[in-house]
Amino acid sequence: MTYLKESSGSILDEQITSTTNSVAQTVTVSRAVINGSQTQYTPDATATHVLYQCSFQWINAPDVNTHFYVSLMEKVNAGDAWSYIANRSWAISVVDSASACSFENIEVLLPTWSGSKYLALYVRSHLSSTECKLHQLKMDSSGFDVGNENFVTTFTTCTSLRSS
Amino acid sequence: MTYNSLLHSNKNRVKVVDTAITSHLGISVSSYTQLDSSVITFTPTSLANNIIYRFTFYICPYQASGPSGRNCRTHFKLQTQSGGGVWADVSGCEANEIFESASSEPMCHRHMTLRFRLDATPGEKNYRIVAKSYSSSYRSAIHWTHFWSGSAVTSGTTTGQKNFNPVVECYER
Repeated sequence: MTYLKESSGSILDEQITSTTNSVAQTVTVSRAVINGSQTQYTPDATATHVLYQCSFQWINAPDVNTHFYVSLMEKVNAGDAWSYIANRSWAISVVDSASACSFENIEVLLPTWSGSKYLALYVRSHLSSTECKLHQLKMDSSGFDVGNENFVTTFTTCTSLRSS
Repeated sequence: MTYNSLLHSNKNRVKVVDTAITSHLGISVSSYTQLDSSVITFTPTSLANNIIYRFTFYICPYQASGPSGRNCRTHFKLQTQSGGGVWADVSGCEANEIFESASSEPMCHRHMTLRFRLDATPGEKNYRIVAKSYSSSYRSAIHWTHFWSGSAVTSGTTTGQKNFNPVVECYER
């Protein structure tokens, strides 16, 4: 278990990426980066860890059941292929359900690194029958599952932390 | 890179833990209603570009007097208020928590964090989450468990259940 003792000055720097969405992103059996989850970050030179956080909405559409995988990816240069960060993959799954939607706030603590690096979240549906959509609500002030519900901003941060 | 050596985010950070939770709070089905534990007042410094708002809480189906409720459809919205004026929605800062069971068991018991970013503007502002459940058949409750340590399914105010003290936080970057 890695934990950081909170103390004055333990938060060194935080980079913010906020992405306004105007279309829903369908999670299919083909891997794709969550829109707005990508960030390029250079940790503070005195950091011991970097906290990657990404907040986004998902809804069960077009399928009733939802089952998709999430992986934190990295690359050094913009033109490089994405690589999986070891042991930072998981699933979000709600099956045998009539409907399921949720707001995720992903938090992944990483050892710091030197120089610049790109980070992003990959998503992939388990089956073509468990696809879902990101960034659009299913219920808002105007109705439920009409199709014109509001969009949710993707919010990604990288924070340089120093353990005492 | 937005490094600012003059301002560490933990130097202008406000956090409130609501320790006065004694029962569940059913989300309103008739109108958007303030979640009292989510209210916070924050004043950014002149160096701030962004304000980050976080509200962490526990949510489950509303069960007024027994294990009847099992479905949740809830819409959350972040709102701001300046100088005692009208509360206003913040575009893009909203969320859904929806779980509907295909069987007869209650679903949607989880701890969740609503985390949003706003543009920093000068002066003190109030921030809050308002929420509305779809109907009495799709109603959520927050703060209080309905199952604990093997005890029977109970209502939201039964002795022996546990609560999660919600946390609201604001800071600047």
